[in-house]
Amino acid sequence: MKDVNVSFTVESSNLHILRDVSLQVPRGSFLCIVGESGCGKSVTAQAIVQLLPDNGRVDSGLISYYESGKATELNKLEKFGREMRSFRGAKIGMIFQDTLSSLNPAHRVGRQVAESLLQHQNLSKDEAKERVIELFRKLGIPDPERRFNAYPHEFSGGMRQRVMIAIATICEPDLVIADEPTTALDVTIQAQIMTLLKNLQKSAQRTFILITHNMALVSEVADHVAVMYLGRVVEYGSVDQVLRSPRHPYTQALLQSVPSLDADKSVELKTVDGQTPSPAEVTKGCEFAERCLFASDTCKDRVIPLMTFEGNHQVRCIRLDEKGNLPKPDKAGSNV
Amino acid sequence: MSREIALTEPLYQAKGIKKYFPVTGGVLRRKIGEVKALDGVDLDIYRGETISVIGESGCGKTTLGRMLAVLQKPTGGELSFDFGDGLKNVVGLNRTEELAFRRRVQMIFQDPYTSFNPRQRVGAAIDEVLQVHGMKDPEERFSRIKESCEMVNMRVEYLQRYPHEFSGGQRQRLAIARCLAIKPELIIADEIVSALDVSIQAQIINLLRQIQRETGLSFVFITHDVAVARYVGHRIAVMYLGSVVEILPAGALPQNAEHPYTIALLSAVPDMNLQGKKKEIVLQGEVPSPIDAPSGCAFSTRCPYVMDICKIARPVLRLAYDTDPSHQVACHLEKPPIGA
Repeated sequence: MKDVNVSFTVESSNLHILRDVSLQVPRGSFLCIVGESGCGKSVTAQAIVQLLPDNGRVDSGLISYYESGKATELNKLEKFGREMRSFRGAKIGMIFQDTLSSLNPAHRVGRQVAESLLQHQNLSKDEAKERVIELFRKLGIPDPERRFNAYPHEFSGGMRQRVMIAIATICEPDLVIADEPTTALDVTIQAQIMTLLKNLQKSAQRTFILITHNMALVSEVADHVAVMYLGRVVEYGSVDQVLRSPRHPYTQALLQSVPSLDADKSVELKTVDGQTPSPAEVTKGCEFAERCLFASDTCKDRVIPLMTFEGNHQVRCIRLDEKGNLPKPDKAGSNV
Repeated sequence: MSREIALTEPLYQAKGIKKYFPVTGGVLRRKIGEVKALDGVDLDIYRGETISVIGESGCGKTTLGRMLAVLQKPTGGELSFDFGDGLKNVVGLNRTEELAFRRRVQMIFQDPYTSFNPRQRVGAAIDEVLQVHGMKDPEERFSRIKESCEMVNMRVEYLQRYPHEFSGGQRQRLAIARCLAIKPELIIADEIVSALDVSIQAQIINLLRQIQRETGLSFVFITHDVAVARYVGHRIAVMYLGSVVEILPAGALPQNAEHPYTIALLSAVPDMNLQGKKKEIVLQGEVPSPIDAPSGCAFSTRCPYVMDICKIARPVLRLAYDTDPSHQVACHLEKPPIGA
């Protein structure tokens, strides 16, 4: 796999959820997709592995998976066909947020982890069990031999997430997609899981896509960041570009609305007026224009192209000058 | 929020609060053990301050909030509130006294979807609170409601609507307005911004800080988000497994924390500005179950600085080594960990 080129449009009951999303993930790199609820970040992940809900579909665009110079167009494959199944699980691993509903409560966890091994690799049951126990040990699950035969409810949230990671990585996939894997966990456990994921990525030169709403988390793990708003990628670049010198007004607002641990308490948090519109009522122009302090009339009239700045830093905003700086705000910022 | 808080006479004092929930088992549902949700918590709340209570899930911060609001009775300990003539016990009050207490102490919950009756217009929901507290004149009630709506930036016309017509952030504003309408002295806010997206969360946080500045009322702000707790609160109480392990002025975070758990919690919080600058304690393992909590210090099973005494004797809150009188730590260590 060299680059994954994702560009597609999904329409579920006439709701345009993803709008011309293009993303490239170089092999061995760590991409984070960030945004608030409803921005389409999870849908993006589901579209890649063709696990969209039944009412969703990819209308146009290409999802290509590169492997030793050869591109496979994932969205042309049959959803539950043999070829697609050989990608899901074997070459692309998935980790979801809600571990309790992703694991089958009636089956022992060891068996659930071994399942994909037996499916994708020609192993005997005993060999599979050995591999699972070995991976459990590597992932810091204490007493792996006994835990192999335990049921999901006997695990804590953090341990269940480790089991999920085991399922996603047991076949040593090249690409791992993690959708909010730590959102339901406490911070100390989140730190443990993130360290684990980062190690998994580095040690095997794996490609990771992490979906999250937590900007600070992104800064600790990612190489590249894509910021999404209402179905569009509004900014893409390296961690330094996007988080340390954000260009898009939305990215800037998002970053400034979260207090840092050393925030100056005499300064009010920046807020974004209004709320995210529903995808049903989106205008033809910039999705963020209604809430943007910099918006001009042109912003609301036409589709905004992605502009590229130094070092392949892409921003979807026409109010930036050649150097990528925003003008003085037209409207005065309000605090509440 | 630069105002100095007079740390002399508390508005509300919790002393040795314990809350045990029975664990039952077997066909006869006999009691087979106890969950020690709170195991001796001391907390003073002063007039005009916001105290943030932080901790991970299961540490007892929500239970503490419910105790302070006397929604449940504590198993042990004392809760006393200053009604204007000194601290007075508030557990087991008669109906009139309880009403007087509830008028002064209000609670806001995490989930704005369930804290309003879906079949009642929000205006009526706020009005009901005022009626319960004996405001008979409808015009007076309406002007109170109007006033509190203005404080949270909600249009008065919205009062005719039903809860489902609002977004999460708006509903949380209404919940705040409902509290403010009866002019309480203390508001207990339990994870009120946790369910909101960050841009909306920032609106509510700014609003709370503004209300606090303008009205000077006291807040207990319960949250799992350390950065938000520090930003909103004057003081921070850090909880672990049913006890308060450290109380410190918000400005002392992140650098001057002294309890190993507080430092560990801070180092687990991802933060862009502080990468590589924080003191690091990386915790192994998970929080033990409060059913079989360790004897001695609750944190002793995961503490990298654990000593023999920690497993036997429970540390009590004492002054911190940085000699700030409002900084207290419950730890046996004889000097702060990692050279503070």
